[in-house]
Amino acid sequence: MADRPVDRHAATILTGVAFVAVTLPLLAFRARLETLDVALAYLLLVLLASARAGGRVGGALAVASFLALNFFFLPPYYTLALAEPRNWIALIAYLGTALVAARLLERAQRAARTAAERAAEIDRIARLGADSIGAPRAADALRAVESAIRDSLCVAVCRILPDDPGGIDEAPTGESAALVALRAAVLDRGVPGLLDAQGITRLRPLSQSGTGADVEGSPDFRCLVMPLYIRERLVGVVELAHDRTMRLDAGALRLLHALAHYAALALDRARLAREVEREAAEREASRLREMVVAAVSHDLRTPLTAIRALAWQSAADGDPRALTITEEVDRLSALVADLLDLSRLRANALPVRIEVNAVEDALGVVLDRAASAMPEREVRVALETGEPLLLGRYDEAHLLRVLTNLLENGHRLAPAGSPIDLVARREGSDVVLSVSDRGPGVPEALRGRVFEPFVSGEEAGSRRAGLGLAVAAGLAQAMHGELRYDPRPGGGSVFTLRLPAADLPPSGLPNTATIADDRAPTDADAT
Amino acid sequence: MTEDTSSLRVLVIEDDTSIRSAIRAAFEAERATVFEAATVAHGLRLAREVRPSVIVLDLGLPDGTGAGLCESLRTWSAVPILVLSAQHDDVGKAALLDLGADDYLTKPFSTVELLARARALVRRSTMRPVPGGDIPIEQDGLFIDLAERRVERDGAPVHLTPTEWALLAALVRNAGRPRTHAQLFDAVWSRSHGDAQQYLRVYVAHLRRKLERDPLRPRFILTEPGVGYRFELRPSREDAADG
Repeated sequence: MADRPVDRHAATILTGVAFVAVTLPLLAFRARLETLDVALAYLLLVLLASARAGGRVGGALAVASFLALNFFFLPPYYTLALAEPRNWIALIAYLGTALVAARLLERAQRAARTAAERAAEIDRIARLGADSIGAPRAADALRAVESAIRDSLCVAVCRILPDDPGGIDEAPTGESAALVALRAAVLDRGVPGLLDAQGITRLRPLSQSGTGADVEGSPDFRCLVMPLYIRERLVGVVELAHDRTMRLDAGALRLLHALAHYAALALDRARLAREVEREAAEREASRLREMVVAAVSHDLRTPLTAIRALAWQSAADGDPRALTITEEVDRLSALVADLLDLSRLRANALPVRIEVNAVEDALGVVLDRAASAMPEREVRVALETGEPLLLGRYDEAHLLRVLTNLLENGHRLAPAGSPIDLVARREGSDVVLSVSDRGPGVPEALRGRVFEPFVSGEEAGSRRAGLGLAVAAGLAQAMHGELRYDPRPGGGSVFTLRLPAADLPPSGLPNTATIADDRAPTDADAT
Repeated sequence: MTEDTSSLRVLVIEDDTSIRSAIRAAFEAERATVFEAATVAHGLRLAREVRPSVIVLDLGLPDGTGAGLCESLRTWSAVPILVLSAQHDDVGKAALLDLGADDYLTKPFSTVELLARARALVRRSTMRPVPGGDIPIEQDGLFIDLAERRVERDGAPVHLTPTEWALLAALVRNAGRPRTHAQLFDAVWSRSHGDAQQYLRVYVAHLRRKLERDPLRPRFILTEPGVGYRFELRPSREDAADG
């Protein structure tokens, strides 16, 4: 059967013409023909007409030929009465046959047509699948799916977008606010949505055909946005937009759902490609960074070590300037170490060994170092030395670094004679260490940035670059703790470090297994 | 210093020329004889030929690790080994101490400190055992006699539990040398006690409270950060410029 109305009109007219063309010769030869011959001739015509012009035309032709048979070919001629009543049976039988035949033919034709359409659909989808898998770049696969959908469904615009808008190369511009809102709503709820003819947004599930034929298609819309899923994970949307209001019939909807699978796969492929690229870039950056760090570390530290050793030698020989050289070398070494560690901390590449440690161990070392590095500064420490012992989970060397940096920072700015207070205590599940000084404090404008590199140094006018606090904050974070600044009531700064605490096992401590009370200690240790 | 170092034979294994010459200069100023090597292989060979009284070993050598050298050496020699380590390399330091190195110095270091530590190591290694046990320690109000199992602080006797004795003994027998957490733990407890981190810290804290004047500013039982602990016997800290 012809698809388009024009063809169907032509076929209908042709049928009428054929009807007349067949009837005339049959009439002319009426004397020599049997009724059966005419009936069969008309039946053939009905079948042909049904095939060409559709079931309705065939049905109409069946009725017309039934009447013609009666009128022209059964006595009395040119009347609708019948001389022999038994001819009614034949006539009605004929009509029934013709109608049923027309109907059956039409259905068979329609089934054949549907099958052909399905075959074409499958062929299209298979080709699309091959295109999108074979496309050299993920973006090409997306374009292939978009144009396939556009062509198959006859829409003006088709776009496939991932759920994170930064992920696709070209961001659509100049869109209507309604479309943007619709897209956001669909991404949020995971349900298809459309902008109908009145420009109103509606979200509703679109029916999808199961195994049987379904009657529903989509409502009318100007824009249709459908979510795309891969294994129940929302990966993006496919958007259809047309310059006129349109709708998708059941077949088109089915096709859209099938193509949407490919769209989802193409989106996922694009995402995976981006991830691979990013990981490769990160690995390369990390490799380069470590290379630089190692080279700088060795090449900077080695001459520093040599200079310091020689300077000490000179100092021992009595050269007073050599002492200054060693101090400057120490400052340089510290800066190099800080720079390298800061770079590693930023990349989460600094090794951290978290162990259960006694806080007083670190405090003792810090106080010892402070006593030699800043002997004129009074450092007061407050820690409960009764039971229970203050234990924390941290990297001991890193904690030392943090405390040393905080102390140096306090010492640099505090006026001579004022003490620095170091307090360690337990608060809930945290160990809290605070370093307070009576210096000028950090101006309010800088408080939010005090742990950024090079911030506090320039403000205080000090020669030392402000990396100590940045490194301290980074180390605190690397140990799953935090460092914060607060102004000290009465003037000055309080830096508070919070770290996870640890507790003694409730069962108590084991005693040594090798020594009895009344024996001399054995050589239990290997020298 | 009063120590006679003219018979001191020092083997320096360090790949950087300038550091090596600085170390040489420091030791030669004390009239010690200095041998130099720049690689593990050369260092091992020289150690065998020269039989030094102390080895100064850098951790970062081009043809192998200090760890390998220590392991090899320790199969036939008890020569004291002083390791030169980079900053923040606690794992490396502890590993070498476990393998048989005796002490470490962090770069950049002062040559005064280097000399002091090298002398201390040599002194210990040449000490002959006193008949009847080690000499009791008496310093700054603290009295420790391992043989008699007696401890006094400012004249008052101090009672230690067996565990605390074992730990103190492990520290004192290696006075002046850092001991790793693992070494101390192995000396006092058997390894079957599982995760032992906190036990060691706790007992060290107990010892400090019993023996030190100010447990927060210990004078004898010092923390080697990230590595372990050290029992310090030096009369005063005035010659230690950096910690």
